[in-house]
Amino acid sequence: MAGPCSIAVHPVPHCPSCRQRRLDSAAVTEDLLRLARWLEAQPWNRPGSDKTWVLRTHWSGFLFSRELRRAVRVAVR
Amino acid sequence: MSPSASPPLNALIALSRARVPFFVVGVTGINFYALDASQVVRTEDVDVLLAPRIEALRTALAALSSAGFSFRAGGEPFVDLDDRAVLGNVLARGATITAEDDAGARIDLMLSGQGLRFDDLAADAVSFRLGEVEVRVGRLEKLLRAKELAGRPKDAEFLRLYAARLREQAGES
Repeated sequence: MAGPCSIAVHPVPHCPSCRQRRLDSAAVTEDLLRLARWLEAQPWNRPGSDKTWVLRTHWSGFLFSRELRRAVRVAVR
Repeated sequence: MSPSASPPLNALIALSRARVPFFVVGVTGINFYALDASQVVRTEDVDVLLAPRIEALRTALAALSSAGFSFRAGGEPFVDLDDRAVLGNVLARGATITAEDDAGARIDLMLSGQGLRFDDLAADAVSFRLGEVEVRVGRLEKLLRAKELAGRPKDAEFLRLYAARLREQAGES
């Protein structure tokens, strides 16, 4: 049966959707994981590095997006 | 509110100070590995994976409540912060409780996630500092695998764009 399926939980052996997803994933994964390991090994990712700026950037980006959405809503009224 | 007063930052510091066992996961976890602000991927919420234990959940809720957050689960307000039976039920269902503050900050307190097992992340999580406190972040490889396993179109698109960016950063484009 080719019903809803998930690679992680119960891949269905003959489900075309599962097979396609496996192929898509493999294409992304091998290259991406190699790059991920490269990124992890960079000096700025040494354990103990201060990442306060990441949360500050996240928040300022969030505030900017919210203000932008508000401004667009006002503009279209 | 000034951007430097970041509620998500305060939330993670509060969890760490309360000694809540947790890992930063999701896009925020991935962002911890960015070189600079230009590479931080915008996301609406901060995902943390809690240890699947009632006490961890109870302590997390108390810490965030003290930091000004309130809670929702399944779209409804969640107020049973100290009821072990209710918390046990949340844990058994592997549900996510969302912490929100008045400024709009959102922290997803996850007790499970596709491709994310607390014990598995614990094996090799990376410790980073947020000022004076330490937080642990899932290995980048594992966070990306979890996105892959989530299998939503937006996750696939994220991975495609993220790979392209990393390739460029590594000088391979």
